[in-house]
Amino acid sequence: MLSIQNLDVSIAGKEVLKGLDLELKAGEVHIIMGLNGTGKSTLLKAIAGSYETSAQGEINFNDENIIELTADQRASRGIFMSFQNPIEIPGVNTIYFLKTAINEQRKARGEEEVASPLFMKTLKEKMEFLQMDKSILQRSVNVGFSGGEKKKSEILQMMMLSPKLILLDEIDSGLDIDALKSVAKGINALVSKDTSILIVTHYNRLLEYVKADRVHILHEGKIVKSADASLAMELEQKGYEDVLASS
Amino acid sequence: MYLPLHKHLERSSHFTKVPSKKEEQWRFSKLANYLETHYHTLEAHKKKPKLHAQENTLYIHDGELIAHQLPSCVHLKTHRPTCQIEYNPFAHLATQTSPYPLELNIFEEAHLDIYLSYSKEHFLCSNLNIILQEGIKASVYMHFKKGEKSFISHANHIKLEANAKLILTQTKTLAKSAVFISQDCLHLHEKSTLQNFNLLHQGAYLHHFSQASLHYKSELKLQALLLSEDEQNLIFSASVEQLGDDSKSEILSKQVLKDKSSCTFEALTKIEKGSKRSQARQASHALLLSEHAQIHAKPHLEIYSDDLSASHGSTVGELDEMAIDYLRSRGIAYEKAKAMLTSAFIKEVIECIEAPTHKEKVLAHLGEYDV
Repeated sequence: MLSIQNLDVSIAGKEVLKGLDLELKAGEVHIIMGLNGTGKSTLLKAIAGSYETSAQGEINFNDENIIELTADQRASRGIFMSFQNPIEIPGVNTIYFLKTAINEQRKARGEEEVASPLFMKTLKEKMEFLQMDKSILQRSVNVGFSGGEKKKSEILQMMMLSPKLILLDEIDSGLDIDALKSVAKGINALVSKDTSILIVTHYNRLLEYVKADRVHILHEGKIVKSADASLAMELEQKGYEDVLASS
Repeated sequence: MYLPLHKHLERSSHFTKVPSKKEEQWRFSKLANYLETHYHTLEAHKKKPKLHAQENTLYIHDGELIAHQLPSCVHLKTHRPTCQIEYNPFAHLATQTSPYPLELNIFEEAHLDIYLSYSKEHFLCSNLNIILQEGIKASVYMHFKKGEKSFISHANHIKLEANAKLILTQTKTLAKSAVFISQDCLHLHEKSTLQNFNLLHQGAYLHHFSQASLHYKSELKLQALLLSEDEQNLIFSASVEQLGDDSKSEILSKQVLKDKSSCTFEALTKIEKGSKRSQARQASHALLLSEHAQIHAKPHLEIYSDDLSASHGSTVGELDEMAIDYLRSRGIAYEKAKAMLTSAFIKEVIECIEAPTHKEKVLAHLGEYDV
């Protein structure tokens, strides 16, 4: 599904990732952990094609090197990134934004636009599943949303767009227990043999609700340690200094 | 007789501050070149188009009424024929206050559409006088069109008697080579309300003045949307005098600038001595879509009263790269993302239009902006 080789990424001229390698198979859930400022969010942005990043190396997604593709081209191929701080867009209402995003992706893939009744039916189902208030559909994207509403809105977008590769940047930050469960429910609903998920998090608590196949530690621009989900528990108990020293 | 513009403006009541020579040169340099290139060989020729007016509609060609279908509550009279501008158009515009060849007296609730069209290659002047009688509610939609290679000046003199309410919307689909200067003189008597929206987006050079006087408890909401491209020059200026107690004025202008175009926003709200509990707001927001576009914003307040609430402000910016990135991360292509954000910027001012039918008509003129 995703194979990253020798990836160098810089932001505003500063080198952040240095020769990073990562393999993610179809259907797997991987977690990226690391100290602040080690390049976790930069990795996700580089995969998603953010304008902020300048990347060199190989990012192979479904056997295609996507490093030269724009963010919208990558999204149309099935890559979705949930932002740590979702951007507010005054004047663009959420329902219009969702429908436009779906139709633009379909257009890029040479498919017909989604029929309005089907779109509305699917949207209603997903919102009920996430226990979301319908009023947000008429509000501007993320404007005036609480922290929990913003994260749920990201999950709603993810569910509506049905991506193949999901990148979640600190999706669990600032959430209360109920909101965290609701977000985890949305993530688990998308776990399948065809969908892979890469999650950046600082805490073990999300892993109580989402089953991870691998946990990686990103340090000084590289993956320095990978193991099963128990690594997250070990990090929480011992801290990065001890775990990195022992490896 | 030719006199420099600033000499005429000095005498005019539209400006309390005369623009400096430098400002004047900047503002009119492109227009002067344009006129010199296009107008030195003009020949007057009039053609009255044949039109059948729809209900509640007036068609006015080169300032003369050519077709109308009006309800009985509107009394229409023609005072005198259209005047031709035969000398320096700026000078004429700056000093002109009359005549008003067409006068609309509205005695009962009315919703009117007025279409003003102009001939090719003319110096033209049209005027309209609207009087809304006491306690009457009305909406007037005015649309200006054609005028290829013409220089046009239009003046509305609008008087709202006590407790009257008017929604006035003005749009233009002028020829790209038209030069258009319009002026609204607005008199709001006690407890009257005016919501006035102006769309400036076509023509080589557009300049709209609004001059208003507000009496006791009257309320003015003045909005403008300026959409400029190529080498267009668009100017929106407003001068509001709040004379009575408890009067309110809100001026909101949004500008979207492309290519090498330029826009100017000038507003002056004056709250007179003795006017109590008045409220005044001014805001100008410009979106630059090109590094070569220029915006000049000058919001002013002149306050001679102690008991009031007033604010003014102006912002200039480009599209938010982070917002574009967010939209692109959802599969929305760059150009579409830019269009969505531009439309979102415009939307706020469109939402101010209180008559749904007017809003639809304005949206129909926005085309590519897809609001």
